[in-house]
Formats: sequence, structure tokens, C-alpha cells
Amino acid sequence: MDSVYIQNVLNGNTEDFRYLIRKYKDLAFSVAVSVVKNEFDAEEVVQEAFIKAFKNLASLKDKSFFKTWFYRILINEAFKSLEKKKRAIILPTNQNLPEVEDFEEPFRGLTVEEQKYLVTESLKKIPAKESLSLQLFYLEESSLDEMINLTGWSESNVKVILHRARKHLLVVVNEMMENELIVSKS
Amino acid sequence: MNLDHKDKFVRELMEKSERKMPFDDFEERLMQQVYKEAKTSSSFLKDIKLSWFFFTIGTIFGLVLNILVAEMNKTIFGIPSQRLLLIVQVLFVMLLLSQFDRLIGLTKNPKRQ
Repeated sequence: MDSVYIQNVLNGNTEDFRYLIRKYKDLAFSVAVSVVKNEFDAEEVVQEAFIKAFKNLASLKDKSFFKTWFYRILINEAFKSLEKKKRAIILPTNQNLPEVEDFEEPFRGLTVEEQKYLVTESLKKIPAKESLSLQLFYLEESSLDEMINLTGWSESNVKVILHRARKHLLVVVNEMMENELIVSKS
Repeated sequence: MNLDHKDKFVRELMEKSERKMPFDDFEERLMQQVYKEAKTSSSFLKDIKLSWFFFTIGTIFGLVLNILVAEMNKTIFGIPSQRLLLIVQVLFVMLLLSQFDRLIGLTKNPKRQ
């Protein structure tokens, strides 16, 4: 379906670009926020990515690959913005993450709003590459090959980052839960 | 937690992180920018066409000037016609090549604007 609208845009019907914006803006926002960790910066990144996509639409050879092509632009823009604002979370790569105990039951005991808050806040605390890999793998349902294609990372890198990201997310959610519980008890 | 279990739980956590664009006017603002961009690029294409037109006119004029100077057997401002022809030819070739290169570049890659 994308290819029909893209062809219309290329034929001069600019209004049809709205279809692509409407279809991808939320997913794009999720991906951008996972990298830049801030809603306002993420909005800027998504906007910039859409404008770039519009300008270069004619260079997209296979119109059915719009999503992959657009995501590549988006990820590139997100990391560029991060670099520009120097907000990257830098952690030593050999930092050892502790093993977490099973906290599923207490987590499920929280309200949905609390769960959402904990997860979104935790994702802000882990490095951009890790939260991006979680976003792509679990929410966009991207395969390893697609992740390699989108990010430009090597296969082993994708596996390492994803493995570390899972562990990191669990550690941070667990820590935040403990802190929140301590605060609410006191 | 075993790996499979951990994977399922992380999936469950990630499902809680789904976000929607929180700015209601995002689509409208972006479309305004897209329209602006479309207008700029179409006027740029018009400019490119006009540039090619004037380039062609200039080339023809340059060739005619070269022929006229070559046929002239007078001294102008104290410069003999043969030397004048050489100056005109060098200037013509330099202008032709530099403008042709710029126009080709702009036509192939409009982002150079």
C-alpha cells in the first residue's frame, strides 16, 4: 500500500505524504525516544527524518521497502541528535551487571500505570543502543537480519547489545521498584 | 530466571513501553513543512531549466563572438585582433567549462544548492 502513496507523492500529490506520516509517526516516535530519551528531542528527530524521507523519496528504488529505508534515516537522525546534544549515556562496556532475582510477582502487583511508568523511566536510564535494540526486537518484531540492516551493527554486536540490554532493563526496573517501595514505605 | 523465561518477561515489560506521538498538531506542522519543501524544490527545478536556457543562449553568443573576432582584421584598444581572439577564446572556454560543470552538478544533485 505504501508504494501507491509514494508514487502519488512522486507524481506531485504532496498531500498523500500525510498517509505515511499518519502510519509511521507513533512507531517512529517510540524508536526516536528510545535513543534520545526525551520527548521534545524525539519529536524533532521524527520531523527531521520525515522531511529527509520526503526530499529523497525519488531515490528509493523499491517503494515497498519504505519502512526499512525510513527507519534507517530515523535511527541515523536520532544518533546524530544524541551526538549533537552530547546526552549519550556512557557506561563502561565491561561493567558487570548483577544477576537479578525474580521480581515478576511484585511487578505484576503494580497498577498498569505504575508498570508503564517504571518501564519507560528504566528505558531512559539504559544506553541508547541497548534501548533501541529492545525496541526493535520486541516492539517492531525485527529479526536479527533486519536489525543488522537497520542499525549497521555487525551480527555479533547485535547479539551482545541485545543480551546486555535485556539484563540491563531487568536490573534497572528492579532497582527502581526497590527504590519506589522504600520511598513509599517511608 | 532462565533465558526463555527472561525473554518472555522482557517482552512483557517492553509491551508496557509503547509510546504514541504526544503532540496533537505534529501531523499538521509537519505537512506545512512538507508543502514548503515541495514548493522550494519545484521552484528550484524551474530555476535549473531557466539556467540551462541561458547557458545555451550564452554559448551560442560566445561562438558568434569568436567567429566575429576571428574574421576581424583590426586593432581594438591597441590590441591586435589575433591576440584579442586568443583572449576571447580562453575566456569562453573557461566560462563554458566552469558553468557546464556547475549546471551538471546542480541538475544531478539538487542538494548542492
